[in-house]
Amino acid sequence: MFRHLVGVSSPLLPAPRRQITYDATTGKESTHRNLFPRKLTLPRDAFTPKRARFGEFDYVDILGTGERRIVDNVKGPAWLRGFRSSNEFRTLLRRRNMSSGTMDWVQFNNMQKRVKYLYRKLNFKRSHKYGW
Amino acid sequence: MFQPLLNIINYSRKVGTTVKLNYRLLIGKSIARLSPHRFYTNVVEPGNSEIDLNNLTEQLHSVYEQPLIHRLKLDHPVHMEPREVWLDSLSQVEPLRLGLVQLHPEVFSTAPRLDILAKCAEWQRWYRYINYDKVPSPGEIQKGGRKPWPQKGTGRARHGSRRSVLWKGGGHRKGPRGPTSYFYELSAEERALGLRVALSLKLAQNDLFIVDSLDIPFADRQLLIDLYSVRDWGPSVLYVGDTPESLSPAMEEALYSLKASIFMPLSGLNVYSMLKYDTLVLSLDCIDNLQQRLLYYKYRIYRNSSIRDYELELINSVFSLQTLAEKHPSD
Repeated sequence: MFRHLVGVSSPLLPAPRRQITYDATTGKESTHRNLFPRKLTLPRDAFTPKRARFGEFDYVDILGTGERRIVDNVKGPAWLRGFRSSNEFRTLLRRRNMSSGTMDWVQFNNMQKRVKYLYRKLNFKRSHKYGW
Repeated sequence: MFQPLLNIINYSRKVGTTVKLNYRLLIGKSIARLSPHRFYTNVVEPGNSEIDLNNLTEQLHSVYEQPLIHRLKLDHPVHMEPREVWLDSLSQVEPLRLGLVQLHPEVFSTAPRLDILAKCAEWQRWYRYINYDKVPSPGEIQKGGRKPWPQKGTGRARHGSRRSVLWKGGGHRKGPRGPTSYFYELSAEERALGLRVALSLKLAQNDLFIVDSLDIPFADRQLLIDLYSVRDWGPSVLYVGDTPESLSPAMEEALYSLKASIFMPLSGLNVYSMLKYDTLVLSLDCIDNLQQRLLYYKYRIYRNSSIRDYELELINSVFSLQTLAEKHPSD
């Protein structure tokens, strides 16, 4: 029953000859063929090295020495670690301040165009109640 | 009952040498209280045995010291009594009850706040998530600056660029824009309460065990599998120690080959893992630290204009993060 948890790699189960369906009223196997079969998939492994340690060090500021922060657990672009805003304009300004030195010209130019467009739109064209 | 020891006496090995005991010998109930560090026995001439088989259990009991009682050094409310749990060990397959551990009632027997557990688990899932969906806007696509054909004269519709929203291969105005983060913080008080609720539910549902140290006699995964079946520990087990060094190398090797058993230091403990793993095994060295920290975040008070400095110091000093050793130097 727990064979898949005790260290033996889950073997590929043999596929059934036909997809087994059950009668809704009686609950027994029905002899009718299913004309719309669903793709058979194995259950996903809940204890891979990554999934087994999900959530580790999320409470490190409470239970640790105080050197490590929660924000250090976030993996992603540098301008988005510990930052959240529904406003694209603010994220672009933060990105420009932090990482404009490491961008190539095309990327930077497209960002500048977007910043100009959003500045004019938010400040002169549309009000905040439209969700921008 | 005593046949394993007779087998050792009849070995054809040199008298006076030591022989390593097979762990399977420890399953027998007759050998109930062995010291965890004595897995070697002397080979003795048959007939000239120093072991008196008649009073073997008494001799073994005398080797064993007094039961260990780990008392609670922190203050607790008068109407709540400390909870008591067996102090086990991993040195043998059958449960070896070395003594008792007293646990703080406000940490290990709080009300079952399932809403707080859900909040904490949800936060752990979402605060690290970053969505990388991005769709280019019309200005970000190359090859869109020139007017494709003149305004008038051709029979076709009027257009200004080949990559506007109207065209195939063009940009989008209202699509997802760049990586977006879902970061937010839960207060330390709420997260500490979540830990307390999770620990108390584990204890209430017989899924919490305390162990003197995370040592194991042999680096053998079959020992742990037998241990789980005898003690009825679930398929997934979470071991927690104070520091990463509290895990012995033999235990590390045994856990490496087991699928759903892992070790975490105390700073890695969290609500999501306590809900995911069936049993929780704490080692004795992390209990004091854990309780002290969780109570600090329950009782601490921030500065208020009506509270004076000396009152604030008094209140925050009860469960301060000063170590218990500094507080109780005599113990």
